[in-house]
Amino acid sequence: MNRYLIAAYVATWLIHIGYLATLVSRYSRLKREIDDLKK
Amino acid sequence: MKKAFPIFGVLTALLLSYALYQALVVAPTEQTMGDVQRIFYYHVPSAWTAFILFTINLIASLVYLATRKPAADIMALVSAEVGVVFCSIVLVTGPIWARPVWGIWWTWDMRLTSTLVLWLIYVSYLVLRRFSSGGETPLLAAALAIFGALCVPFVYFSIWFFRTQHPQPVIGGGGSIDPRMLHVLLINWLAFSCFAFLICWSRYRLEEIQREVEAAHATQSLTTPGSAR
Repeated sequence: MNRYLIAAYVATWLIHIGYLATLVSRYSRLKREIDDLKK
Repeated sequence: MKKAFPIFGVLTALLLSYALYQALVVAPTEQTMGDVQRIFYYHVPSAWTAFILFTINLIASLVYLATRKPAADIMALVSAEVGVVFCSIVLVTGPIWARPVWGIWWTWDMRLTSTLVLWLIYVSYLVLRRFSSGGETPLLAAALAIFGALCVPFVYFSIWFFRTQHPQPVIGGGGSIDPRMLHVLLINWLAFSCFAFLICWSRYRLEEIQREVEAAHATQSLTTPGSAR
């Protein structure tokens, strides 16, 4: 398969996964803050 | 709603897998470009999804300006953020396609330059929202969103109004497309639209929780002297 095609598809999913990772990280931080508030 | 999210998530994952299979295996190979043309099945749906999200951002910003409802403000923020993600994909996959086809990664052509300007406007919108702490931030952001949205039709129609290297639009323009390719393109667009909707859904809920936590911190700092963060 063409290397440019693979590069474009991999880049697309890396950007999406990177963004989803930031959302998960923000959610984890918020969850810790909520736990602190409950104490 | 809690049950609907994982079901919709699984359906979207299945649709994305099916769309990938269609793009890589089922779609016919283009005669002059070969397999590189298949980048089109990710590039074009990402561009359409970004345009839709920026339009939602405009509508939500106008609603916010008219009503000052926090839900409209959250919707505007979420659609701009996810729109920037999709627009980034357009700006990355475009040059990867251009290198083997045009022989260059980038040219200061009207379509490419206006897309870059559009991306920069929405990045500046997100920077404004992230680093401005005044109470007027949503209002300023809503005003900026109106100018950003004006750029969307300019980007779309730039290939009609200006002499450009970018291919003509596949729908409603001077370009033509094999019906089998169009079918695969629409499946990919549906899949990426569902994915964008899913991300917006999560991001919207995250923003709601964040505002609740900020409000709780503010209340706590008022009621407990010395606990201000």
